[in-house]
Amino acid sequence: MDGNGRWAARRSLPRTAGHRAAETTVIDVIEAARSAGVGWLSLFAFSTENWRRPDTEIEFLMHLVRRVVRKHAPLLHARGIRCRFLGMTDPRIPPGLARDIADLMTLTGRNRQMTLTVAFDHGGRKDIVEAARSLIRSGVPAGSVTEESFAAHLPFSDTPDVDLVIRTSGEQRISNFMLWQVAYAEWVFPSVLWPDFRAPDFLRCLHAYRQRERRFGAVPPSRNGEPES
Amino acid sequence: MTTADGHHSTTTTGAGGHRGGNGDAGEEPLFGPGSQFHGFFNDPRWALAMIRATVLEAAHPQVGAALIDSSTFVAHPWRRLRNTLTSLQRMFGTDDHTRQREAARLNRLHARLRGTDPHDRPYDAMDPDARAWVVATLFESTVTMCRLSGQPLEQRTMERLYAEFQAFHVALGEDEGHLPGTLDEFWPYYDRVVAEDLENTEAMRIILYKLFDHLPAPPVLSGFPALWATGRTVAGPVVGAITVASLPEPFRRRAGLPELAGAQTVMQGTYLVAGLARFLPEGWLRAEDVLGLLTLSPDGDDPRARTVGALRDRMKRAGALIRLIAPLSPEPEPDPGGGTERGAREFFTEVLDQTGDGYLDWPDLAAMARELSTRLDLDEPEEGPVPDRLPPRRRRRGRHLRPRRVRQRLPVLHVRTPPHHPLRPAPRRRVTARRDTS
Repeated sequence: MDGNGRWAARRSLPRTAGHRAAETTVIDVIEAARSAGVGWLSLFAFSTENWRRPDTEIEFLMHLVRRVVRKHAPLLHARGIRCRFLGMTDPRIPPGLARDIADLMTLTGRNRQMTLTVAFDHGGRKDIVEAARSLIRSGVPAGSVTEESFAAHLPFSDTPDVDLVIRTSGEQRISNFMLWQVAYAEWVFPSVLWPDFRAPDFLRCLHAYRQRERRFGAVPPSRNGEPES
Repeated sequence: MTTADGHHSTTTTGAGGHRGGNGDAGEEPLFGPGSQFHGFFNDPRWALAMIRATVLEAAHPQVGAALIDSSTFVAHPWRRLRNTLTSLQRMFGTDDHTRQREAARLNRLHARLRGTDPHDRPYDAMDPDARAWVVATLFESTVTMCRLSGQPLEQRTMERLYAEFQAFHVALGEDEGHLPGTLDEFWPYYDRVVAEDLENTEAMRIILYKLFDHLPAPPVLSGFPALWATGRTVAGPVVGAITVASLPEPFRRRAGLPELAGAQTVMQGTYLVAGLARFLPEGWLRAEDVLGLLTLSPDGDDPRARTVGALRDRMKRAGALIRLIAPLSPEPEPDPGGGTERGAREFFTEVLDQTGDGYLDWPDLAAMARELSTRLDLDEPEEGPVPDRLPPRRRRRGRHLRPRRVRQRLPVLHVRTPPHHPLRPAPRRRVTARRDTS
C-alpha cells in the first residue's frame, strides 16, 4: 500500500488525503482478489517503522483505520472473509481501535471464503525474533529445530508461504514485510501509486504471476525435447 | 449459648421423633427419595423460597453477624449456592454415613465462625438457637411457598415435612429440644422469633438490596457482561420486591421494609407461575442440573461445554457485530494489564478478597481454607491444620460492601515466606509467624 503521500503531493493535498483515498483501493482490491479466487490476501498497512512518522499523521491513520474497520465490517463478514491483523502489539495503538479490530476478528473468525491478513504495526524481523523467543521458551533442543517447527512459532502460523508480492508506486524493497513467508515469493512492482491502483491493475499483476515459472531453486522440467539448461 | 427462657427445652419429638435414619418400617422415609423434602428439592418455587429463607436467616442477629463477617455470599454467590445445594443433598440423601460426614464438616466449618457484631454482642455460628432458626426458616419458607402459589400443604404432609426438618436438625448434632417438638408448637415459636428476635440487619439489607446489584454473572454467562448487567438491572429489584412482599407482615413493619403497590400480586403471581413448572417433563428442571449449567465453565471438560462454547461463540460474534455497527463510542481507558494475564486488581478481587469487602483479612483466609477443604472433600484430619493455623480475627469498623478504592491491608495476616521470596511482605508490614513445632 505504497504511494499515498506521493499521490497527495502530486495533487497539492496533505498526506492525509492520500491515506483517505487509499480506502477505496483497499476495498476494490479485496473484491477483486475474492472474485479471482485468491484464498489468502495480505495488506501491509502500517509497519513498526511507521511509528516514526509525525504524531498528527499517526493519529489520523489510527482514526482512519478505525473508521474503515467499522464501516466495512458487515460487508467483509457478508463476503465470507476472515480478517486477521498481524502485529498489533504496540501499546500506542488506541484501545478503541484495538477493541474494534478484536471485534472484527471475532466476527469473521469462522469465515473461510478468503483470509485477509492486515499487517498493522508489523515488522518481519520482530516476528522472527518473537518466534525464536517462543521456541526457546518451549524448550525445544537446538538439534530438533527445523524450518517447519520454527514456522509453527510465527504469528498466524497457518498462513501459507506468500506466492506473489505486489509493491505499488515502483518502489523495489522488501521493507521488513513478512520476511519469513516471502522467501520464495514472486514480486511485481507496478509503478501506479496505491490510491490509483484498481482491480484491473491487480488482475494484471495476477496475470504476470501466472506467466512466471516458479522453480523454487530446482531445475525446470524438460519440455518437448528441449535440452536441460 | 442458649437462651434463658427455656422455650426450646421440650424433649417431645416431632412426628415420629426420629434421630436421622430413613424412618420406621412402613412409614415414608425421612430422607432420600420418597421424603417430602426430596419432592421439593427440584421445585422452581424453591429458588424463591431459598432466597426468602436466607433473608429471614440473615435477619437473625447472630446469623446476620456471622454472614457479614465471614460469608462469601456477596463475592461468590454462585459458588456458595452450589455448595449449599450439595450440602443439602448430602444431608437429605439416603446414605447415613454421607450425612454424618457432611454434618461433621458443617460443624467444623461453623465452629470457627464466632466474634462480636457491630453492637459488641457476641455471635457464634454454633449457637443452638441460631442453628434452630436456620432450620426453621427452611421449613417455614417451604410451607409458605406452597401457600403463596395456591397449593397449600395438607396438615399431614406439613407434619411429615416438619419431622424431616427436625431429623435434619438432629443429624446436625443438635439436641431435639431446640426446635419445638410438634408442628403445633412450631408456629408460636416462629411467630415469637419473628416478633422479638429478628432485626433489620446489615446482612439482610445486603441480600435484599445490594446482592443483586452486584451479582456477578454465573460462569456460563461470564463472557456477556452487558447482557448480564441488563438482565440483573431488571431482575434484581423485582426479586427484592417479591422477597420483601413474602416476608411476615409484622417483621416488614418492624424492619421498615417498603410496601410497594402491587408487590403482593406480583409475588403471588411469580410463585404461581413458578409452580406451573411442575407440568414440565420430569427431569427438565433438576436443581443440580440447572445450577451445573449455570456454573459450567465453557473451557471445562464437561461434554456440555462444547454446546455452551458454541452458543457463547455465536453470542460473542453477535456482540462484536453490534459494537461495530453501533455509533462510535468514546475511546475506552487503556487496559493497564494489556493481555490475558490476570491483573493484580483482578487477582485481589477474584481470589484473595473472598468476602468481597475490599480487605484482605482473616475471614478471607478462612473462606479460602473452607473452599479448599470443600473442593478437596477433606475429612477432619486433613482439614484441621489448615484453618487452625489462621490467627484469631479482629473486628473492623465502618466496613463497606464495595469500596470504590480497593485497599489491601495485611496487618493481621501472619505470613511465613522464605527470605527474598517475591511474595514476602514489606518489613514494615511483616508479622512474625508462629512456628508450628508439632
